Amino acid sequence: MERLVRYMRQGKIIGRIRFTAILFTLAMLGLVTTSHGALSVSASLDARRFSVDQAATLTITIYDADGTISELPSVDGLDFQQQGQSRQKQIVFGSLSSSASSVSTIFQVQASRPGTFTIPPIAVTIDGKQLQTEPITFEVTSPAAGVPSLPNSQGGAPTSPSLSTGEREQMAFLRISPVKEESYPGEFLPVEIKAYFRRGLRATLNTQPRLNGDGFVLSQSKQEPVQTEEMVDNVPYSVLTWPGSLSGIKEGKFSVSVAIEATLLLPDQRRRAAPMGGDPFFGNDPFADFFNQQRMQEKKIQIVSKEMALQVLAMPAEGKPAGFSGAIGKFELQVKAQPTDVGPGDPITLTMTVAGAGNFDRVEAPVLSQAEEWKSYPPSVKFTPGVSLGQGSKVFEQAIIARSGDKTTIPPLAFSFFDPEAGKYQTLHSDPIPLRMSKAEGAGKSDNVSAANGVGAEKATPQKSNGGQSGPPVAAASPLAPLHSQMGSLHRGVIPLITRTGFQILILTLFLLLVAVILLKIRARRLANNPVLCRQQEMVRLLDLRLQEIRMAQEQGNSRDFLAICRRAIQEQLGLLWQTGPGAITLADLHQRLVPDSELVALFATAESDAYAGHLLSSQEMAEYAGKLEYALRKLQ
Amino acid sequence: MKGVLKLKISAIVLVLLVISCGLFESCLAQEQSSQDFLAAGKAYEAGDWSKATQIYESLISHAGFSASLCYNLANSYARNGQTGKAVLGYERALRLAPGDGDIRHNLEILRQEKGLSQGEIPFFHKAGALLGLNQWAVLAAILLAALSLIQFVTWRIPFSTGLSYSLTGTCLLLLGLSVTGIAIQYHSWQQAVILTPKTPLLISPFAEAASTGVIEEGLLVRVIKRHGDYTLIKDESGHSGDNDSQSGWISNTSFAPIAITMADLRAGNKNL
Repeated sequence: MERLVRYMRQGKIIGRIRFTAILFTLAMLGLVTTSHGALSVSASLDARRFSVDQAATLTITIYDADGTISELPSVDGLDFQQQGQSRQKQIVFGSLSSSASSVSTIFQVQASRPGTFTIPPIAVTIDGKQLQTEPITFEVTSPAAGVPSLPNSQGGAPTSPSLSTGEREQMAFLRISPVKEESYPGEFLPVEIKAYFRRGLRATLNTQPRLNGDGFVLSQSKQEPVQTEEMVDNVPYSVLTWPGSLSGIKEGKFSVSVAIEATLLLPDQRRRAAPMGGDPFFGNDPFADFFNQQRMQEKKIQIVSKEMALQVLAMPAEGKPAGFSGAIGKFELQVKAQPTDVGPGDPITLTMTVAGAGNFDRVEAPVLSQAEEWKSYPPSVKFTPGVSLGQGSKVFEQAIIARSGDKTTIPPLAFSFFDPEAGKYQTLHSDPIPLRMSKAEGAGKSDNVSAANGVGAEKATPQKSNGGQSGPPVAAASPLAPLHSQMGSLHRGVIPLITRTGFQILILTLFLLLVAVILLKIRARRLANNPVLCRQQEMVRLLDLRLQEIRMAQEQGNSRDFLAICRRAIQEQLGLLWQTGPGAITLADLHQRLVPDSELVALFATAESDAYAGHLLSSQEMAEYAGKLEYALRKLQ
Repeated sequence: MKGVLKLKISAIVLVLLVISCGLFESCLAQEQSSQDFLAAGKAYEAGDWSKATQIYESLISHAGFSASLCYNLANSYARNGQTGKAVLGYERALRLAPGDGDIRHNLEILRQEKGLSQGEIPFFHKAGALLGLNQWAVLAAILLAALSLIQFVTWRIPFSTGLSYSLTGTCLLLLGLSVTGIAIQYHSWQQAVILTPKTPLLISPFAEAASTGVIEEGLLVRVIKRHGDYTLIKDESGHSGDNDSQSGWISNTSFAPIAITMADLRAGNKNL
């Protein structure tokens, strides 16, 4: 009974287990079926706020099926670029049959302008069924938003007027300031042209600032632009400043602007697609920036300032002085004379300084009142620019001579200009300068007095003719040295000797000679310091000498001498070669130090044996022997 | 044989005749030049400076340049009020005879009277002007020859090393000075003289271009570049300093270079 009860209890437990297992299997089957049946698609953007010079990554993921993206929507101001696809498989409970998969398609999204954009639902076709993603809204900011603002107190950079609407969205902009709206023709309007580049931008200027528009000309300083840092609306900028000036060239109303062309070197900031889809893991990787440094892109831009409306007024005709040369601005006149203690006919140098601000190119020398009583010469001019453009001083130096000897003062000099602020002409007068003129001694030195001069035998006769005269002649009283009485040697031209071909050839020859001597000297010195070269030379010298003696002995038919000289020649050559005394060299040495079949060994042995044996060689034998010896010894060298 | 001898004698006589004719013509030309030179001097002394300039100009165009001819012509121009041409003549005379005191004196007087101040001349220019360009060039040639000789002698003949080095060093030092002198003086040969009064300096090489100022007659300028009928020049008179000296385009007829050849003169390329 107990066994039965126990059995029944066991069966109950087993049944329960079976029931639970079936329930679990059914539940799992239901889950799997559910997951297989719910085909889905999603779209995500890795950043909901980014700047215009950056990009975001759009990922469209299709789960548990292969689908195709029908078409990407067209959004004004947005650009989509496909970057690639990635697949994912997820294994459930160790069985591939129960796995989940997804396919991600990655697009790069770039905006061409700041603003709020919405990517509308994207249609995806899966197994003939069309699904749609959720719309995505995001904000694209101007580049400024990405740059951290700096407190003014820390940066120390000066601040400039706030950014206008057009400037705020730009990475670089141009300003021209300040300009008077009304001016007169030729008036010098100092301006400052500033090109603002967002700090950190790498830019190369392709042109100098140029003026767009008629009626004005822009003059610029030859100096390089000054580079500074400025804060505009808490945004740091690198600023290039050119000083310049505008001058109206004709009357009327004109609209002008300034433009400059530059190339920006921008880092390629496009984010790389994450290898596994979704949010890029390496999106904020510092190394990503490092590697991106290798990828820069050039962007050519033209920066144009805002247009300015300028008016050029007509110069008033009323009150225009006779000596007005076109100078417009604010000027001061200072006149000095040196010397003031003079004799009749002595020249006096007037130094007239016109200083101030204005169009100095139109400033001419002040005019002497009572000019007819003075003889004046063309003045020399020197302009010294001031600290800022348009300022400076123009110094005129002019020689004047009193036409009569009774002058007590140099009369005032007048300089006229137009004051644009007052809107009227002004004439400056210098003070009369007191003069002490001594009485003429005998015949006056003045050029209107005919008198003998001290120039050799020259006679100061009145000038008869002055054809082609371009200025007053040198006063007849001038102490010019007399003419030369000899014509001297004649030349074909006034040209320097160094340009004449003959002289150039001479110099070249001398130079080559010097080089040759130096080279020979160096060679001789090298030879003297080289024992191998010395020994070789000595071997050649001695061999030539011995061969000469051999030939003589051969001609005389003197076999004994012939053989002795041959032995000596071999000993000398080998002695020099082995650096030993020639007399110490024996046949045994030759056997020991030369190769056994050496011809020299045989020749030396023959010479020794014949000499000791008293064997006399015939002429033919001697000739044959001499030939072999010379060949062997030359070969040795 | 006789025929050949006769032919040889005839040829020799012909050659001698041609040489004699050439010499005779040369003597005649020389005589004519001397007479013209005297006539020009007389015209000058009589105060007829225009005539004097005409004769001197004709003499130069036929016979060639000499320091005295250029100097006398410059004196005539100066008396005739042609400052630019007078300065040009003196400058050319100075190039041919750098040590001539009369030329320097008259040029200085002319510049003083016409207000053509030369400004402060830098020290190295003064040092370079101790000798003329041709003198520096001859000195350099002599020193090159001397160097070659010293090297040869010290190679062939046993010589004291110290003495050899001293001689070589001295020669090289003097050669360096000569080359510097040549460089400085050559610069002065590249100068030109403004011939027309108040010559406008244009900002561009065309007649309608705006003027940036005027340059006075008789001032020394340096030619920078040419474009058609205009030349870009820089004021070399020195009174403005190197940094702010005037420059601008002027008409080719407004100036004349100091260096000139007879070929240029006959081709009419340059002003006398």
